[in-house]
Formats: sequence, structure tokens, C-alpha cells
Amino acid sequence: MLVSLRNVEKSYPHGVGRTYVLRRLNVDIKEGEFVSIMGPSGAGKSTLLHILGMHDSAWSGEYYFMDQPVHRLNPKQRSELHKKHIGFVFQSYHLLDNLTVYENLEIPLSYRNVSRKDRQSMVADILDRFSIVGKKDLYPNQLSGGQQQLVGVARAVIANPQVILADEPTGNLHSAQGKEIMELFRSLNEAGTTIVQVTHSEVNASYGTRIIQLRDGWVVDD
Amino acid sequence: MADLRQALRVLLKAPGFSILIVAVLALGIGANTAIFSIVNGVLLKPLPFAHADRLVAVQTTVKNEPDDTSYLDFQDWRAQAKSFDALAVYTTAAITMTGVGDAQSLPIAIVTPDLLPSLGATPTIGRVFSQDDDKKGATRTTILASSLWASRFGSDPNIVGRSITLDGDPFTVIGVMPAAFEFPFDAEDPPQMWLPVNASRFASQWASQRNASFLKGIGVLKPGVARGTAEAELATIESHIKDRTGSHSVLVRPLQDALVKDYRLGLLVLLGAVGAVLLIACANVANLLLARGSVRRREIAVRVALGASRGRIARQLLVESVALATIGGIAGAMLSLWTIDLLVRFSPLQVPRLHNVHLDGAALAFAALVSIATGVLSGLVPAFQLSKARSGDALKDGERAGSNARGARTRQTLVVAEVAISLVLLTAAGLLVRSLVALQHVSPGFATERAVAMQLLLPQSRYTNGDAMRAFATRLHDEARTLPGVTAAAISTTLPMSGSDIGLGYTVEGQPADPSVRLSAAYFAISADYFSTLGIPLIKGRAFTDRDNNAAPNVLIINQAMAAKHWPNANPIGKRVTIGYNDTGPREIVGVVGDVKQGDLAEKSVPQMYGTFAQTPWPFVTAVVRTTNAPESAAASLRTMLARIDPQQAAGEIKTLDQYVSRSIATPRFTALLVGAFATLALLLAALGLFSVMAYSVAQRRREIGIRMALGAQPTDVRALVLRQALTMGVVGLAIGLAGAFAATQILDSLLFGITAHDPATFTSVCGVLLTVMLLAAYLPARRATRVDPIIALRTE
Repeated sequence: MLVSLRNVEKSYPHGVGRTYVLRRLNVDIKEGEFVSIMGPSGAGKSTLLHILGMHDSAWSGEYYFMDQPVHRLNPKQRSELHKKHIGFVFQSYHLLDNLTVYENLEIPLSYRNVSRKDRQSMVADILDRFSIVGKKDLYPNQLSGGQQQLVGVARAVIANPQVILADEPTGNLHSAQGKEIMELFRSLNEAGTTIVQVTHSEVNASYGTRIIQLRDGWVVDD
Repeated sequence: MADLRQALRVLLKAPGFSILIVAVLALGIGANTAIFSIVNGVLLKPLPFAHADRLVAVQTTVKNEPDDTSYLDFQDWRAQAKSFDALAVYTTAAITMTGVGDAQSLPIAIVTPDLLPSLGATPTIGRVFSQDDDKKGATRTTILASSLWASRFGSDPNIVGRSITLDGDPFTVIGVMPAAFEFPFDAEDPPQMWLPVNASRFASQWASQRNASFLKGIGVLKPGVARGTAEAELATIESHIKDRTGSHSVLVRPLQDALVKDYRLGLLVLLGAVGAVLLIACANVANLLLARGSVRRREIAVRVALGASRGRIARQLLVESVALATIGGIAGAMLSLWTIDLLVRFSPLQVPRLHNVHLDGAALAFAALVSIATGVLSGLVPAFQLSKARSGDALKDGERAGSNARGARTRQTLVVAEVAISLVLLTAAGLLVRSLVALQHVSPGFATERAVAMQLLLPQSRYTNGDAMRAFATRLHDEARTLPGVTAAAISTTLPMSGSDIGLGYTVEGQPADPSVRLSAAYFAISADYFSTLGIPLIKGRAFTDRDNNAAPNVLIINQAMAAKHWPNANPIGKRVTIGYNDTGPREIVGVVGDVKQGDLAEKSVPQMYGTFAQTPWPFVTAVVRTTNAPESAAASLRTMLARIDPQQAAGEIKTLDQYVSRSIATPRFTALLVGAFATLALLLAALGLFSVMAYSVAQRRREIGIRMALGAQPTDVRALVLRQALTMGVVGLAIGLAGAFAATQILDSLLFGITAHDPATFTSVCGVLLTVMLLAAYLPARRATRVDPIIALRTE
């Protein structure tokens, strides 16, 4: 099992009580799955994604990632696990404004102590794979939204993660651009990468193999 | 007015920010106002005398070295020179006043009658000296300082005509000078009375000797006469004076220059240092205003959207910065009131006119001018930057409105400038401090610990001959040895580094005299146990014994410098030297002792000669004791002992030998301390500048940091990211600063001792200190950056 959540809960103190964002979540995700997390605003979709991505550590319950007990790991160990196996794609792309496309792609590698030479070949490879070689010296503000998200996905996969977590990856794109990105996810999934996406779109969800419905923090359908 | 009202409202809305800026400016403006007050009071303000622009110092030079002038030379100048409206000479001394309360030693000025009129000074009551008052055998007259008149005579309006006893002689008071009058300025203690040369037994005995140089000259140039003309005329007169050795000439300088010569560079260095601090303060304020301006971009954009022109926006921002600077200036002026007091209290006492420095109209005008200039200077960059805002961009830009790359570059440039200026100041301070430390490690050549000295000047009215002086000195010596706690005691005419010395000409038997060179050495008439008491090592031969008395052949001990000068490859013991005092024939050298510093620790060793007090008695007597008691208690015992030996003899200065040494480095210590303080202030301000830029930058880069963390950056990566940015600014600032420091420190060369102006150790350590402080200043924002929560940072989108 790639991901296994057991009784995962997240809440905030609110007045005298607590506000629950996620309630007693039990979710298993196998390697190679393409999962879409859906639900209305405030259902806890993004929160779940950030817990899976190990950005969020303030929750209770048990989380096993590739049989490793994430709930027992210290921040450094979590970060190592995340760096090794997870790629993240954001709705607003979150490219670094003052870095070129090339430099943006290089960043995750630099945090993984990849040597300069290897970085060069890996970035060249990904630029080629995503057909964005011609854009490598441009800054994010010189790209269209679709192109920016393409770079965002390229950045997420450059370190060869087992799983890509995508938070509404097409939310800021028009439909043609969105389709292009979803096709990209499909081909990555077919090549063996597990995809977990948060989406409002039924069309996008149809690219996947499984839908998890969340409402008020509860899994209401799987 | 509307701008001002709005400006004040804006400032009140962010009181913390406003207070920070006012504090930074108050420090900068206050320090500048204080130092300006001193520079103005000492260097710039015209001397408070009539014809200040025509007043000159007239100084004899021997082989181009400045020297004092003899009374006979002055008489020749006065009789022959046509370039002057008036010429006068003066010297300072001490005199004992008796009959008015306890015997008291008073600092006095001995002057020729033209001195007071040439300064345009008139007494409050009475008259100035006439030429008759300076004639030998005339009734002795004196003019009192206002402070002495008040303290010892109760401001008696009938003081004129009253007889007082000075050094045992009756003097008639002929006048009282106004409270504001002070001359000369370069005496450590302001003179309490003025005496004509021939009224003073001490001065009149020298007045008849051509080679007795003990006077300083001043003159009032005739209108239209150039200094060069006057100098040439006096040099010609000097060259016609016969029967003496050494090539004499005359130097004529503006009196003000002559008075402040030794302090000018130090004061200008201070002014430069404090000006640099103000520049850093300005850069800091500009930075803070820019950072705050970014927050206000939306407000400015709204104003632009409503039709405000660029000039109008810039004006509004400038009014704000000038308002802040004005408040800072008022706070600074108040701060300078206290600072001036502190500076005057801790500054070297000899700086002329320093104790008259206070916050005056000129200083207030300076503070006002600096405040406005500071306001404009620190407001100009933000006004220029922010007024360029286009309404559309800023209004659309949302949260990221402030992350404007040009603004960030400007802020970084300002920090680089702050670092560069700080480095220049720190290097200057480092050099001065290292030089001071080097000075403090110089041995004066004698042991200073637990030693107290009492200086006396015996009045020649009562101590009329050598026997009387010898008898007094012997008794003083004997009684000093038996004082409680005293382990050793000695007598000398003067002590090294005491501020008084006796220089005597001499000739060496068997070494023909070069008529163009005047041989001169410091001379000490001492008791036999002087060397052992002061810890001066005997190098060759023997020390004096009690058998070297006035009945025995005259003997001499010289120091190593004099031995090396005349007998570099021979043994000086047994050689004979004739000294220019009490021409009793040649004296045999019986010993060589170690060199002691004569004037200050920085000087090279000069020839020194020692004779016994018994063989060469002088009216100058100094008793020095080494004691196990506290200095105050030793001083009290010395005073009591003196009152017992001669109740009419007042004690002169009583000080520890440590104080002598400390006094000799007072000026370098003061300069190093102040430049050090300003450099520290500069460093703190630069650190504050870097901190504020980094803190602001981290706040602006929260999203970027969040993304980096989401992509796997560890806290160490984030910390390194922030520190690298700070380090880059630091290193660029350092490189520019090093070039500046290399050029600027050259002017310090003459103030340094034991190191060069480009001392690599100082440059290296200053760079190290600066970089460390910069990294420390950036560490807090860097640590804050590691606490960015990627989820929150990314959600703020």
C-alpha cells in the first residue's frame, strides 16, 4: 500500500470547542492509482492533500506512507520522505517569479543534493520531455497560465516521485490548457506514477480511476 | 499646511515607526550638533579679541624647529619691526599668594605691557600695564582675573591699589579683567592673574639672557601687511643678532591656527566620523521610509487615481520626512546639550577654548540646517521611488504590491552604502584604538605604580640663594621619607611627563661645536636616590651618592640616548660636558641610565642629563614618594608636611605618576574613544538597516519561501537563502568600504603610533567584525523565515 490513513482527524480550537476539518478518515491508496478528491468548498480537500504531502503535521491518527509510520516521524524524517517520493502541483503554479524556467526546474533537485552535472542533464531531459526547451530562459511572467502550469508539473516530476499531489491543477486555466495538463497526468499515471488530485471538475475526475468524496471533513463516498 | 497636517496624521498613525525614525535621526543630528559645537567653538569661531583677523602668533624657530623666544630677541623685534601695530610676549607660570587666606599656588600669565591692549582687552576696573610697570625696579603690579577677584577678594570694588603678597614680594593690584577674558587658552588651568615680565623674579632673571628662550610671541599686523612680509622682516632682524649658535628664524601664523594646531586634525576627523554617522542614519531612515512606502503603495495609487501628480505625491512624502527630521532635530539638539557637557568634561584639558563651548545660536542653526537637509536627503529616494507608482498596477497587485524589484534594489543599495561607510569608520576607529593600545604598552622608562609627586616653585624673594633652596630640598626629602606608608622618596627639579621640563644647552669636551647646531638636553637636578625611587635602571658607571654634594667635584649622569649621540662606540664614563647653567666648568660623566619619555609616550628618546640638586639647586622642586597608602591620603600627608616645613609655601600640582602618563595620552584616548563610539553607532545603525531590509524581504518573500519549503527546502536551506542575501550586501559593502577606508585612513597617519594607516591586521579584523555583525543582524529574519508555514504562505494567494 502506498498510502494508508487510519482515523486521521484535523481540528482547530474554536471558542470553547473545536472545529473539525477532517473527521476519522480511513483512506488507502495503492501504487499506480489516479485518485480525485472532490467535494464542496470547505470540505477539507486541500487539507487532506497537504497532510498527504506532509506539509501539514498538526493532525491526529495514523498515516503510513510506503509502510513508514509518518505519524511517528520527526519533521526532518518526514521532509526526507516527502523529498524522495512526492511531487506537488499547485493551483496557482507557485513558480518563483525571479527565477527562469530552467532555474525553477532545478530547485527541487538542489534541495535533494543532486550534483550540478546530474541536475543539468535532468533539467535538460525534463525540458525536452515537456517540450519547453525554448522557454528555459524565460521568467514565469513571460509565460501563459497553461505554460506556467506545465512548468509546475515538470517541476513536480523532475525528481521522479512515486506520487504527484495536485491541488486543483487546472483551476486557473481555460479548458484547452486544462485538458493538456490532465492528459499529461494521465500519461504520467500510465507510466506508473500515482496521482492524487483535488478537483471540482467532473471532467477532470473522469481522467482518474477513483473518486473520494468529502463533505464537512467526512468521507461520504469512495 | 495641508500637507503638513496630513503628514503629522500619517506619522501619528504609526507611532512605533515614527519613534524609531526620530530616535535614529536624533542620534545622528545630536552627535553632529555636539561635535559641530566643539569644532565651531575651537576651530571656527573668531578669537574673542579685537583685530582677530590680524592677530598672529610669532614664534622663533631654531633649525626649522619651533622654539620659544628670549626676552632680548623680543626687544629687538619690537624696536625694529615695522609690520606690526603691536608685538607682545607671554609665558605661563605659577605663583604663591600669601596673606589672603591659606597660601595658594595660582596659575599666572607673565606678559609684556602691550599684550592686553593688542588683544583689545580692557579691565572691568583699573588699568592695563604701562611700559613703566615692566621696568626693572618698578613697583610690582598685577592684574587679577575676575574669578580670583570674586573667590579670594569678595569682588571688592576697592581692590585697585591694594597690596598683595606673591612669592613673598608685595604686588599692587592695578586692575581686574572681565569674566569673559581669558588668555592664553593653551594653559591647562586658566591664568588667575597677569604680571609684567620684570615684576616676576623668575622671569626677570631670564629676561637678561639672550639664550633664555621661555616666551611665546603674538602680534597685531598692520592693516594690509601680509604675514609673509612680517615673517621676512623678523627673520632679517633675527639673522642680525650675534653671538649665538643655531640658525634662528621666525614663523608668523594666524594666532587661531597656532592655538589649535595640535587639535585641528583630531577634531576634523571627529567631524568626518560624526558626519558619516549622519549619512548612515539618513540611509537608514530612507530605507525605513521605503519599506513603509511599500505598505502605502495602495494609498499612493489611490491618490494617483484621484488625480495627484507625481510632484504632488513626492511633496507629500518629503513633507513627512522633513517633519520627522525636524522632530528628530529638536530631540537631537536636546541630546547634544547633554553630549557637549559630557564631551567637554572628558576631553583633554589643553584643547583651547573647549571649556567655553556650549550649545549656542550657531549650533542651533546648524542643527536646524542639518535636520532639514537630513529630512530632504532621507526622503528624496523614497519620494522619487514611490511617486512613480501607477495606480492600476498597485491597485491590482493585491498582497504582492510591495514586492517591487526596483524598491528592493534601492533598499539593498542603501544597505550596501551603510555597510561601506561603517567599514570606513570602523577601520579608522580600529586604527586609532590599536595605536592607543600600542601607546599604552610603551614603557615610560620609569615605574609609575603607587607614586605621588608634588611640584613646588620656591619664591626667589625668600629663597634667595642656592643654600636656602638646598636646605629646603634636603628637609623636604628627609621628611617625605618618614611619611606614613612611604617606601621611597626622592627630589627632582621636574619629573618626566609632568608637563614641565628644563632644557639646557651643553658642549662636549673634545667634540668641537657646530655653530649651526644648538645642543640641548632635558636637565634634572635630583637627589641621590632618584633613580632607585623612580625605577630608572643604571646602565653604566654609578648612581649619585650623598657625597656628590656642593663641596665635591661636579658630576653628571646622562641617558642612553645622549650616550649614543655623542659616544656611539665609546664609553662615556669619565668624559666631560659643560652645561649652560651656573657656569662652574665641565662636569664629569659618572653614569649612564635608561631613557625615560620626556613629553609623551609617542616621542623618541631625547638626550637627558642629570646633576645633583646639591650641586645645581633650582627654585623648581618636585618631591616624589612611592607609597603604600591611597594617593589622596599621600597627597594630604605631603601638604601637611609642606605646611610644617614652610607655612608660606603653597603646594603646586599634586598628581600620581600614573596620572602624568595618562594625561600624556589624553588626546589620542579622547579621539580613539569618540571615533570608536561613532563607529559603534554606525555599525549598530548599519546592522539595524540590514535587519530591517532582511526582515522586510523575508516578509515579502513568504510565498517564495513557502514554495521552496513545499518543494523540499529544509530550514537550513531557507536560513542559508536569507543569510546569503545579507552576506552578498555585506560583501559588496565591504569591498566598496575597503577602497574608501584605504583612501580615508591615510589622513590619520600623523595621529597613529606603532602601526601604519593600512595596517593589515586592523583591516582584516574590522572586516571580520562587520561581517559577523551583519550576519547576526540577518540571523533573526533568517530564523523567522524558517518558521514560514508553507500551507499558510501558499494560502495567502
